Amino acid sequence: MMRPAGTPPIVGTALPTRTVVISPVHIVAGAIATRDWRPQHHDRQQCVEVYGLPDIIMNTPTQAGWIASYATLWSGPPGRVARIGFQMRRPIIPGLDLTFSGTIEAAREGEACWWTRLAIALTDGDGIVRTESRALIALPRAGGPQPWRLRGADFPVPSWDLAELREPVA
Amino acid sequence: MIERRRQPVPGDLPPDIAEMVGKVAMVMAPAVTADRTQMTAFLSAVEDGNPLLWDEGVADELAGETVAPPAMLSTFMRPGRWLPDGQAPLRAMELHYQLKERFGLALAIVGDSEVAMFDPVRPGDRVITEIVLDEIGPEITNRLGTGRKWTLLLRYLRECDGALLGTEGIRFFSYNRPS
Repeated sequence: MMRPAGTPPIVGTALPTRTVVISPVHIVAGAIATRDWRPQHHDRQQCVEVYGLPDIIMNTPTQAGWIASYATLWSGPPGRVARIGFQMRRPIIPGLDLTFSGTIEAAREGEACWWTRLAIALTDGDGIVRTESRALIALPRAGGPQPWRLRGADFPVPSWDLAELREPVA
Repeated sequence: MIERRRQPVPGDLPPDIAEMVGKVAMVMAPAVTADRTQMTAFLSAVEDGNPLLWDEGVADELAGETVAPPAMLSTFMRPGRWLPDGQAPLRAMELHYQLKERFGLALAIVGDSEVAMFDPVRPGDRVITEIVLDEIGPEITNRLGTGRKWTLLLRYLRECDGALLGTEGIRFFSYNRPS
């Protein structure tokens, strides 16, 4: 479910979850779309026999794409993701029921928009976090410009801790 | 997550590698052109239905132009698999592979990754990537094997005007398994 447009982000709000059953096509399509030709992302035999992996694994930019997609599914199209960071704890492989869950960790008012830091976990069906991530996303303020309209110095991306911005929104 | 607290350069590094730390070591060439077909393939791969990225009318309204998915940034340093002139294109993150070869390390994993996205990439933009060896550690042994950790910092620039499109930090552990 998308957040109501123009409303301030509230720290502690949980995002709706999203579950995806990961198939080999998810892994391979991501690798091709990101021009990643390494065998870890398409050659199961080599993964198992050479690399000691359980299967082909999802690559880094594909994971970034899924995380951004999850963030904007919640924010709606005006949301502009400006930072994504993640730590891959265990590989994402075919057959997983992968659930995306997220929480608003921090929110502050910038010159042109609200800046919101999301904590996002990618958790498998056994409850094990496969990837731990966070995303910094700009949201439009009521009556303010669309974040996606801003360029150059008009879109100063803050640090992860948002320390350079005003006090928390809520 | 990657924290920007640079560690001292370890004493067991070859001088030329130690000299490389913190400087642009490589520029990926030729530039990679952002094209709409690849953008659609990326959105399809990650099942991203954001209308901003699919519908030109929504893109015009919200962004004033068509924009690439921001998370796709690192794709623009990745060359195609094959070139008709018979020359092998540079590998994505070429510096990483050169370091692996230099230290004789067969395997590698990515631990942390962090990307910051500034001005949007647009269809037709030609993107060049500068690669910096941001940090490299001493030889260590852990449960995977013996090797080194290093962090590459990538700077993505629009070729025509030099606009900074984004940065990416990737932390690797490259290693050999215990024999």
